[in-house]
Formats: sequence, structure tokens, C-alpha cells
Amino acid sequence: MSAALIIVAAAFAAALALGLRARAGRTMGLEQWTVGGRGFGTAFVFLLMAGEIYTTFTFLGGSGIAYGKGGPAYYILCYLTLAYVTSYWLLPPVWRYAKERRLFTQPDFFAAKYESPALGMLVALVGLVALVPYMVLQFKGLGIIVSTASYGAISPAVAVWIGAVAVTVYVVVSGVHGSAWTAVLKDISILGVVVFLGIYLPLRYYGGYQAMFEAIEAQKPGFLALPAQGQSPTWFATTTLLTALGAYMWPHTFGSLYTAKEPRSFRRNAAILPLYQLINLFVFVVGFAAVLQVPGLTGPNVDLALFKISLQTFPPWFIGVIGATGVLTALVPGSMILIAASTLLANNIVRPLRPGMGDAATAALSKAFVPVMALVCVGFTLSGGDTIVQLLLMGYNFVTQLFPCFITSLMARNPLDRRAAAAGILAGVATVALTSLGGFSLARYPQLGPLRDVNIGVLALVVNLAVTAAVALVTRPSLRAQAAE
Amino acid sequence: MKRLRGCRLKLNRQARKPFILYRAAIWPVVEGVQSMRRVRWLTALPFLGMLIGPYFLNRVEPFILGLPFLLAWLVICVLTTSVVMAIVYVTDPQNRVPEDGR
Repeated sequence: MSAALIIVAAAFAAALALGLRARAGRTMGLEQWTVGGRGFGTAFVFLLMAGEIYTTFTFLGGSGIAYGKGGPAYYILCYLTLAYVTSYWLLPPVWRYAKERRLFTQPDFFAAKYESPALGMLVALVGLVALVPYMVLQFKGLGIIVSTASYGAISPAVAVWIGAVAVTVYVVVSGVHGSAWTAVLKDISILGVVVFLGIYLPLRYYGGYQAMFEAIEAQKPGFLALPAQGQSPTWFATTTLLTALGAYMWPHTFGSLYTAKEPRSFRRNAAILPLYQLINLFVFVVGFAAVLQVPGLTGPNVDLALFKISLQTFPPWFIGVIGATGVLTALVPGSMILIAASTLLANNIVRPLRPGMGDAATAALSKAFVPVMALVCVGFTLSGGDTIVQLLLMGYNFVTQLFPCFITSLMARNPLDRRAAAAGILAGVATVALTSLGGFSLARYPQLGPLRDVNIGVLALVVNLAVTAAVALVTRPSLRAQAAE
Repeated sequence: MKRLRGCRLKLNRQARKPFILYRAAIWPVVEGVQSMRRVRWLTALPFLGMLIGPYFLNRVEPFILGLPFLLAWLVICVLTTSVVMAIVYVTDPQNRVPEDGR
């Protein structure tokens, strides 16, 4: 057993211990388990929100995309920053409404605003479909990390099983409290590791940042900016905007905002979280450092860039530290996703179908769904491999379809009713599914000019808006009268 | 203060008046940015910088602080966002109500 593996195992154990400790002295009713009794202060809300954002996708995927694509990776730095700006005004009213109505999940919000449990079920389904690939991504990351840290002794498949069991156990035991405490541990270690790697690797291999970037520019001119075609500035702008709109539409992110004690937490975090985004800078630098040092990784293997360059640079114990950090970056969002997904199932799909079901029964059912969800995700992880990033982008486009009727529901007088909202969501989701599964691409139409680089999600959003407006006009006589004038 | 369901904008407008007096009395530092409405326009900057900026600044050289030009620009945008949101936060009368969350 290598030193690296021992350290990774210790991280698992520490996460479990924190989860068990966090539950101490609380009875885990539905409200404690899902939304932490709505008692988290600014610091914890910050950690949970940041905790969901710094996932294995950032850690491995962020360096991987910088390594594989170069300039287009910069969008990761931007979209959440923009999401935080909007969060200043969007989150407090949602929080207030959720507290008044004692809401637990994102579909609860839609169901209450539109007075329609059926719409809640639709939103829950969209959320579930989007969450599964997100979870699969975390498990895949875990597999890479543990098998690398064991220098091949543990196969990725076994690692995925270990990870799944660990996440399931602590989620069932401690709910969202465990996630918040593990997020503390995770954020300290990811800060330390990423900042260290981002400073040390360029110095060690190139003598400095500028020397490194100059060397890359000499070998691959233009790699560090956006290409003129394909992932062009138009792609960059539309992708950044779409993902910014979708960022708070994820069920687990939406759910974590209910944990806050007071809405001021969100306003304060809107100023602090953008700075936290700068960690991505170091992640990119690690990916760029690997470009000339460990060339030749392609396809899904670009996600290995961080580990490949680390393996050739550091002794086993440090690989263990990196691995432990990676494990934590998978566990925290993984547990948030599992909590969200199983609560969606129990609270928004089963509960409306069985009238008279109480909070206690819902809580019990939610916990029972956790291992089921984990098993489903493990199944997807071990069977379907390469299309994960594709699925994640699809997930992002799915949840973004909830944005239009979310925004209008915050208005003093909502111009939409449940029929218009449901029709818009269905149309948008169908467009996303058809275009992604059918391999449809705007790039096939050169006559569109620069518009062909527009993110396909924009098309779905346009369809969504058109259908929503059309149905709203038909179903609302007052609006129809206005339009006639 | 009576809180209407889902009507925050309305509440803001009603609630703003007493706070403007309060702020003018105790906080002359922010005289230049007295009106929340004017400050909110600042939040357009991150959007312009990140979404429109790359069309004009999509280049690798010159390097700024050792970073490729476009990356340096986006980092500046992120820093600006944080400053803008901090200004919005301190000039927002809502954040000086003692118990915002009830």
C-alpha cells in the first residue's frame, strides 16, 4: 500500500468523521436534513455555494480544458462571476418566499409560485435528468483520483464503489450539515494544493509565468486566446451568459440557498465569491504548465493532465495529498447532489401522488432514495464513459430552461400561469434533447456567418420563450386583449 | 413594516425614503454614490467586460503581469466585479436594517 493511498484513505475517514460529528445533538427531521434548519450564517452559505462550485470538474476538468483547448477555458472564470452579480437581487426574494412557505426544494418553489404540484413534478424531473450526469462526473473523478493515488493498485471501478459507499453513508447520517463541515476541510485543502501547484509548476519547469506563456505561444501560436472560428468570441459570450443564467437553476444550488439564516448572506457573498473565482486562474496555470511537459493527452484523457504532471514532479506522499483534496472535491458536491436528487424524488414526485404524506415520512423516504440514486449513478459511471461532458453540457442547457418562468415568478404580477410555464419548459427541454442527441450543430450552416458559433442552448431558450409567450397569449384573456390593441 | 408576498420591488420603493434620510445623516462618505439606482448601473460593467470585451481584446500579447492579454483582461473584470458588488453592498440601505431576515 503506497503512502499516497494511505493519505487518500485518511481523507475519506476524516470526511466521514466530520459528517458524524456534524449531526451531534440534532434530530434529523426533513428541515434539518435538507436545509440545515435554515440556520447557516454567511460563512457557511459561502462554503456551501463555493463547495458546490469547486467540484472535481474544476479540479481535473478545469486544468484539463486549459490543457486541451487553451483560451476557451477562460469562460469558467467568467460565468459564475456574472451569476454572483445577479444573485444579489435574485436570491433574497427566493429565500424570503421559501422561508414563509417552508419550502425544501427547488420544485417546491415553482409549485408554490404557480400553484401547481404538477409543474413542481415537471421541474423535479428536469432537475433529476440534469443531476445524474453531474453526479456521474463526480464519481468518474473519484475513480481517476483513487486509482492514480494507488499507482494502479486499485482499479477505477473499485474506487467508484468505495466513493459511492462513502458518500451514501455520510449523506444518510448527517444530511446537509455534513456537507457544510466537509466543505470547510475541502476548501482549505483545495486552496492550498491548487495555489501551490499553480505557483510551483511554472517556476520549476519554465522559470516563471511569462516564460511559460511565451514558450506556449512560440509552440502553439494563438492557443492562449480564442480561435477565430468555432470557440470564437461569439461562442464565448453566449456560453458564458447561458451558463451564468443556469448556474442557480441547478436543484442542489437552489436548495442550498434555503440553508441561509438571513438573506444578507447572499448579498455579502456576491462581493466575496467573485474573488474566490480567481482560484481558477491557478487551475488553468497547472493545465498550461502540462501542455509542453506532458504532451499527447487527447479526448477524455485531458482530465488526467493535472495528475500526469504531478506524478512526474512529486514524491508519492504529495500525490496522496493531491488525491485527498480531489476526493474531498468530489464528496462535497456529490453529497449535495445526492441530497437534492433524493429529496426531489421523495418530496416532489412521490409526495404529490400520495396525499396525506407527512414530513417525517418524506424525510424517511428521501433517505431511502439516497442509496438508490447512488447505485443508479454508479451504474451510469461504469457503463457509459466518453459522453459525460456531453451529458453535463446537456444538463446545463436543461436547467437553464427553467430560467424564464423563474424570473417572471419573481415579478409582482406574474404574466405567466402554470400552463405557459410548463409549455415553455417542455419546448425548451425537447429542443435541447433533440439537438444534443441528434448531433445538430449550427456550424453546418456557413450562411449564418458569425452566428453559427452561438451556443446551441440559446436556440433552445429562444424556442422556450416563443412557446411560453404564445401560450401565455392564448391562456390569458387580459393579455390577449392588450396585444390586440 | 408590512411585507407583501412576492412584492419585493414594491417594498423597496416604499422602504427607500426613510433610509435615504438616515444615510444622508450618518454617511456623507458615499455622497458621490448617493442614489442606489445610479450605483446599480455599475453592475453592467462586468457583463460588458466579459461578454463584449473578448471581441476586441482577443489576443495573447502583450503579456500583462506575466499573463496572456485576454486572460489578464478577464482577471481584471473579475476583480472589478468584486469591487462593484462591494460598492453596491455598502450603499444598499437594505443592508443596514438590523434584522433583515426577521
